[in-house]
Amino acid sequence: MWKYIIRRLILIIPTVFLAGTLVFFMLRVLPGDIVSTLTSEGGATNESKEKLREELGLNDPIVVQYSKWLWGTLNGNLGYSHYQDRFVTQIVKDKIEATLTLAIFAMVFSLAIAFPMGIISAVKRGSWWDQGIRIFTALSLAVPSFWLGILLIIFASRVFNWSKPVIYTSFFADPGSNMAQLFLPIIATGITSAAILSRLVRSMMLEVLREDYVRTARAKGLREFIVILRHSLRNASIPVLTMAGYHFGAILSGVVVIENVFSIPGLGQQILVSIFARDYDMVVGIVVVLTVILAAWILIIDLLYSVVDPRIRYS
Amino acid sequence: MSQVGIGITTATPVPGLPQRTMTFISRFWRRHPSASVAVVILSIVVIGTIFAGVISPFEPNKAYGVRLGGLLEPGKTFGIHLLGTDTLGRDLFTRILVGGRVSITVGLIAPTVGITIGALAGITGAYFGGLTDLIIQRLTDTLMAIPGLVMAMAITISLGFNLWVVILAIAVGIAPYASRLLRSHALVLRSMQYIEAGRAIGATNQRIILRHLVPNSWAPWIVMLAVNVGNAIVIEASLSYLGIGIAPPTSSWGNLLIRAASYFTDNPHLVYAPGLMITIVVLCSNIFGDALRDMLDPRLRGAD
Repeated sequence: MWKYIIRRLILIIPTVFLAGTLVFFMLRVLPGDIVSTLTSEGGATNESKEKLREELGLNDPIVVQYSKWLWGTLNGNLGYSHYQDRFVTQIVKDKIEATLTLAIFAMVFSLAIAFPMGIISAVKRGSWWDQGIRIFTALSLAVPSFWLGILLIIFASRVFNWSKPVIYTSFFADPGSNMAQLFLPIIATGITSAAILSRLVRSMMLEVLREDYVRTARAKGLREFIVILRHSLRNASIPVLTMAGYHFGAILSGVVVIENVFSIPGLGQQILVSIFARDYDMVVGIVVVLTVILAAWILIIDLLYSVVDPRIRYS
Repeated sequence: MSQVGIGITTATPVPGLPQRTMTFISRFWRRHPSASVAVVILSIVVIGTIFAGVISPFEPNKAYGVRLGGLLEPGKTFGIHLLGTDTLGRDLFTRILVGGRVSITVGLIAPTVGITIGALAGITGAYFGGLTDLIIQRLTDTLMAIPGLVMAMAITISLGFNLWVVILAIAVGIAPYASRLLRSHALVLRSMQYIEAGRAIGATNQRIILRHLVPNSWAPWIVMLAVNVGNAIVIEASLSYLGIGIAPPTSSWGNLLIRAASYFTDNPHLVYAPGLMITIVVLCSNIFGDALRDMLDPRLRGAD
């Protein structure tokens, strides 16, 4: 088990570096750099701009810049944000919590509605429940999350006099107000995944309910409740979990947009600010961090398989 | 003139073909009534966007003087602003029609490009195996490891905020998934006898890939395309909404929403109209895509 985890962790490293490298070089293509942002208020002569570039190492050959970045990242130093005048690692440390909280709760939320919806839809196939759930999932898949976010903000401010909080409260400091703040963003982020996952639960359940062992279980006289939850659901969950693993990437994409809609100070808001400021190190740093989060989540999901299905052993 | 004549003769229907098409349409209608309705709605939207200039007397990027006019606001000089006007006094209805061009172009071209690139890569990898396959797979994994929207952001920011860059950015996000799917499909095909036969009579690798593997992979190709159209439209709208997709004044359903929420109290249609258009088009294309998948992939029939 531990051997397996360590091997998987080692496999994450090249992927993350390739991803970082890709974005590193892509951002070097664009014209304009951090110096033009820093001196955009005017007053800077070309000479002083050039000097600043020299100081920041922007005139170094790209190979030198890249090896510096690579060496730094290997040592856990993601570089320096000249725009915010702080280390990237520090800024990430400040902002990662909001992003992670939102992403994880959105995932939990989508699983929490996907399973009941999918199960009801499969068990009562063809009923009004099924029809209703299918219409709901089809709509949820079609509504763009940022628009849903805007509508939720408007609705909440109309009905509950709710307004976007200015300061982010940590979940660990005050879970109540944190949830009050993240409630709507969680819905906006998680609803698409909920729809996708519930469709998958439905089709998996339909497949499993046809199996012989389900018929046997029913023939034994087990209660329907137990047949569905213990015999069918367990076997239907593996593909759903796999999907939930890879789908976390889509959730992270959603978080990036939703953070901007709801002004949540997380990595998604930061990456947009940094992109416009041409703050390369910061952008690449966030990409690296998001990649690590995604890889770690997929690993956790893979480890959950053995909980759901004890036949699965890792070696 | 004679050449035109030849063109016409070759275009005259092969006996049996129109009837086959008709049977196909009527069978599709009977089996998938909701998908047929979806196709009709999509066609109306597509026609509307193409003929925006004919349908609406207004120009999309011109200010007409009535700022933030409500629904059915009469124009200052002529016509009626069906959906009112925006902050600059531009006609919203026209801007939505024209913005639809962006969404539909992106929705059709981005997945086509992405799936084609991904499919070729995946099929090539599966066919050659070994190092080629390994490199392509690692690249696929890398692209899948970055959240799609973040990848798209990095591309638009480095290449510019226009239609073709947005298409490329979305295509890059779709390609790895196509590569995975088509690779596993091609692995099965590779061991088929006709591929072996092709090799035995000395067909080149290029010929086997392009003439045998690619044409036999069209069903998953179409299915992936149908599933990803809505996806691409939503990503484009999100990018444009964040200000890193299609840049104003060119209108797109995403960038029409940028500051719309601030005017919600008096002009809620500024928020509703573009969002509803995205939802309707994505919903219809998903319904159509599901029906298409149902027809082309019999293994999935009845599962969904």
